[in-house]
Amino acid sequence: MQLTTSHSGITDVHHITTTSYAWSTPTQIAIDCEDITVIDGRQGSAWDEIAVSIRGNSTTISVAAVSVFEEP
Amino acid sequence: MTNYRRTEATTALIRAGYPVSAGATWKQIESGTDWLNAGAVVLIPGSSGNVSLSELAAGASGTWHWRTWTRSQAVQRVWVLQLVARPAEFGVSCDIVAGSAASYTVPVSDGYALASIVTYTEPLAAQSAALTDLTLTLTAHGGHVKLLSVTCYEQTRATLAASANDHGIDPTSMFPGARIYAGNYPTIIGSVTGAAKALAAADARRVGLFQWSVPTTNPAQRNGAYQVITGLAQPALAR
Repeated sequence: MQLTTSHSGITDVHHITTTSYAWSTPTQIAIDCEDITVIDGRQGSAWDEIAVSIRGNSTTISVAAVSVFEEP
Repeated sequence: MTNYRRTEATTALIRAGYPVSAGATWKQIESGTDWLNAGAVVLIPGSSGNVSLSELAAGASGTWHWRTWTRSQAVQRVWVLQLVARPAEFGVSCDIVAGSAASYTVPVSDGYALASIVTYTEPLAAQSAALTDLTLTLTAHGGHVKLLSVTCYEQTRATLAASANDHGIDPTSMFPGARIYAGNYPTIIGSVTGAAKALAAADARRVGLFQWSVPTTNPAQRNGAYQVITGLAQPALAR
């Protein structure tokens, strides 16, 4: 499973090996945060957009949920 | 318990050599700090997951999962769901269960133009700041039920207790004439130290940045090269 971001340029790959549903171990990624010097907060006037792709490796992968959140 | 409101301390009264005027300064700081800690945050930004995968047949149940790091002040979560039955399916209803809350049954209209929006409140058994699996189980009756979109946020608190979960400030410590002391935070949350530490503990994250979910009984599947499952990419902007 691959998570990519459009502006911060992240490519974060998770290898899924479980055969029943379970949350994978969280990994930290550094997406865009607010640029407080501009009124809309966007860095470089661009949105940082998240997309998730999946692929099977000679088998079928099933994905039921993807979450990105800020840690405290 | 302490009521809160959004306040701005009268900074003109905070000057070297002036006496502490609790009614106009410390009390305002207490109310403003509580206001910060009592505010709601969004756990699941309005999203649809994959609508084509989010339909249940009559009699079927499905469970959706989301994951985020919750805040300790929350005692309720508010879910806003948009549900719809297939066209010309009448008398359809849906049982809604969020987490361990009681089941709540709602009627579901047929066709997208009549999609029902349901607001459902989930009382929490305990306050917790932890990485949490949020779950929603729907059961369709009398026809198909499709989950078009879901939003979830923590309910704003009306009052906060002076406790380790709430980080509310003891209001009696802010009254005019009250002595200044350094409490053993968070056992005692009051006076100047309590206000400063409660302010430092304010958790104003954008908790949920991106959430995508479909029922585990009908997941996105792939056996081949990479394929996007999230449709159009979704913007996210952290604090």
